[in-house]
Amino acid sequence: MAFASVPARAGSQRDPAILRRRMAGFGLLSPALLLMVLMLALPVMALILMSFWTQDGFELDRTFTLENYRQLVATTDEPTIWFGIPFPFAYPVPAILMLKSLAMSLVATVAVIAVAYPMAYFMAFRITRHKALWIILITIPFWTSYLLRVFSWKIVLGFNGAINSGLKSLGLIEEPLEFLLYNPTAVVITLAHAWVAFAILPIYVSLEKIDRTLLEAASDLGDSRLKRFFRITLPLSAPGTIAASLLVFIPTVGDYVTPALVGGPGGTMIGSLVQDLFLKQNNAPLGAAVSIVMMLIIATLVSLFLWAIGYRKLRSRRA
Amino acid sequence: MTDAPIIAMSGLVKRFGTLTVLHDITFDIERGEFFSLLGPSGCGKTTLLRILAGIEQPSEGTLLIDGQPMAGVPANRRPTNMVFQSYAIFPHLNVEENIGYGLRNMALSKSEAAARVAEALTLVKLEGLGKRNAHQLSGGQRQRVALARALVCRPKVLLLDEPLSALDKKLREEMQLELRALQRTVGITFVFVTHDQEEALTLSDRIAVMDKGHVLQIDSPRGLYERPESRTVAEFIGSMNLFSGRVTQVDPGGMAEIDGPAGRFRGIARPGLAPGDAAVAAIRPERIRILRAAPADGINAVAAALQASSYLGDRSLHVLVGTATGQQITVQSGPAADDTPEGGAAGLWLGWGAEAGLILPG
Ligand SMILES: Nc1ncnc2c1ncn2[C@@H]1O[C@H](COP(=O)(O)OP(=O)(O)OP(=O)(O)O)[C@@H](O)[C@H]1O
Ligand SMILES: [Mg+2]
Repeated sequence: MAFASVPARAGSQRDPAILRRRMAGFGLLSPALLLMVLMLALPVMALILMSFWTQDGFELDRTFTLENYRQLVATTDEPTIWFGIPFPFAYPVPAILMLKSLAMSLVATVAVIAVAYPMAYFMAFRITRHKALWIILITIPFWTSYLLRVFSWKIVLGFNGAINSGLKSLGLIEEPLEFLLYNPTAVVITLAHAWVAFAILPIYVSLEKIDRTLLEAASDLGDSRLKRFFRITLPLSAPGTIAASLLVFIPTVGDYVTPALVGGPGGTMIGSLVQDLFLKQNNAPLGAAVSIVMMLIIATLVSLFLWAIGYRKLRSRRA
Repeated sequence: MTDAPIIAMSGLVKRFGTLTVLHDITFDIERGEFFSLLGPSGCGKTTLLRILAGIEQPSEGTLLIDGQPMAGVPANRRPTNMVFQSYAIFPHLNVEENIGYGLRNMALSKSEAAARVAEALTLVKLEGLGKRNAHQLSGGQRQRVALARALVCRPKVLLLDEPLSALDKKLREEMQLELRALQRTVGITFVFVTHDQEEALTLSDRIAVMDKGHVLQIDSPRGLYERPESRTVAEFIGSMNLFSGRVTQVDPGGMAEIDGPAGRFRGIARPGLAPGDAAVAAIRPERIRILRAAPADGINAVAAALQASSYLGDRSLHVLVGTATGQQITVQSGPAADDTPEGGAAGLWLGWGAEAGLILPG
């Protein structure tokens, strides 16, 4: 062969050893990579493509157009007022639902962290024996399906549910409380409960990793227990807590099962709208556009958040 | 009351479950002293230091620091600061923030605190590194940060838990000198934990030798070396040759004689020895002379054969085997090497003066 005589340059990209190692890396990645391409990248690409088409009755019009996006941002002179906030859009529903979803997810995330942090703290600092057992106990809710967990909240919060009949039998109320179910609060409660276990583990790991002598040193230097928590424990567990928040916030924004089951008319979220556009209104391209916009907004918000708290600095300091 | 001891321990006991790690610790540490706790691994040094710091509570006994009872006083309200064995540098703070950590808990103005941090940085020779992160520091620099962080609070007592053990030999020796000089400068009482006897001898005004949760002896480095009170201390500090036997005679002048398989030995006796007691004659390697013939009186004389010699420049070490007992005896000779046995390895005698040896219970 003509180029067989060309000496291999050591350390260059053509070095067969390096090449082989790279190929081995891809080999290891390939099952996951294949799955990601098939299950994630292709559908997203299809979604992006579809968002540039339009629905024409029962037919898809496959000519490239920005019509869907134009429809989402088209303004009008008569803004729709929602909770005092004016939305100057001709078609304001997506924008309103987007904001509402973000707000509800944010509340759910805050609730999740508020519940998960003390539990993780307890496991990391107070439990000395049978830690594995506690971790297993935490995962027990995952042994039942998500749907069942949502339904069980229906039973707890419902008109004749556990809370109402309990309060009634105690004689505390005459009529069942109606504000429990089919509203945003019910959605937030259900979401928070469903995601708490996901949040406990990363927080627990970051707390568990804190060197106990750091806490002793803080006390030795004059910190009370509370002060020490805010100066040492909280900052050192921040990476786990941030990871947990994102882990809860990002997927809950787009959830549509929970609002559908416990949200009622007032508890709808952006996911509900996407589902509606795809399945009921038979306008998949618009639904695709709404999805894409939602993804972009979440990605932007998360990036802004990480940038604001200096996540890179946090990470480098932990090293 | 300023010459009252800064730390007074009486009857301190510490138990972890059924395990007793400290037994009846009773002694005082004087103001401005460089005091070391010396003992083998696991003897309870760290535990005692943590009790002083208030991180651990004693199971029994009382502790006074600067005349104040410390029962129920948590670590954050004690006039002590600690340099941890692992340094415990806060990883999310830079050098300055680490050093200034304790100052935030004092009523100091910002500028005052900044001035103190700068002063501390100079003291431990870390000027210009104030903005570095903890993970950008070498072992020696971390140790200095830990030291500065504790010193900057101006505690009455500074507790140091083997602060030099993680450093290599050269740096360790350098830091020993610096630490000693620093202690003289700031005049704070140092309680220094180590399991390295050489380090303790170099640095300390006084040393408490600990073993298995007991304090065996408290003395100056010279006192520990020249007048060990027990066999354990004698063996732990420096190297010591021991010959066992039974007491045959105790003189009123403080001398005693023992008779054992290796021969008859005479030396300065520990008070309390009586004829018939089991005892050991203890003699330092550098106090033994190698002789070609048996000493006349036959006391403090051991027949031995040379096994190995090593020349160390400023001194030579010889390992001999006692003819009667087969035990190994170490002898150190000076640089002149005129008593180095050149001729034959066998048929040698070892001898020393009665004042050079000790008779200890054992
Ligand atoms: N929290 C604890 N629970 C149970 N036992 C303990 C605890 N802390 C220390 N011990 C035991 O107490 C004994 C003394 O420990 P300590 O740490 O004081 O030893 P040390 O003299 O500092 O040893 P080293 O030189 O190895 O640091 C050891 O036997 C140790 O196992
Ligand atoms: Mg220790």
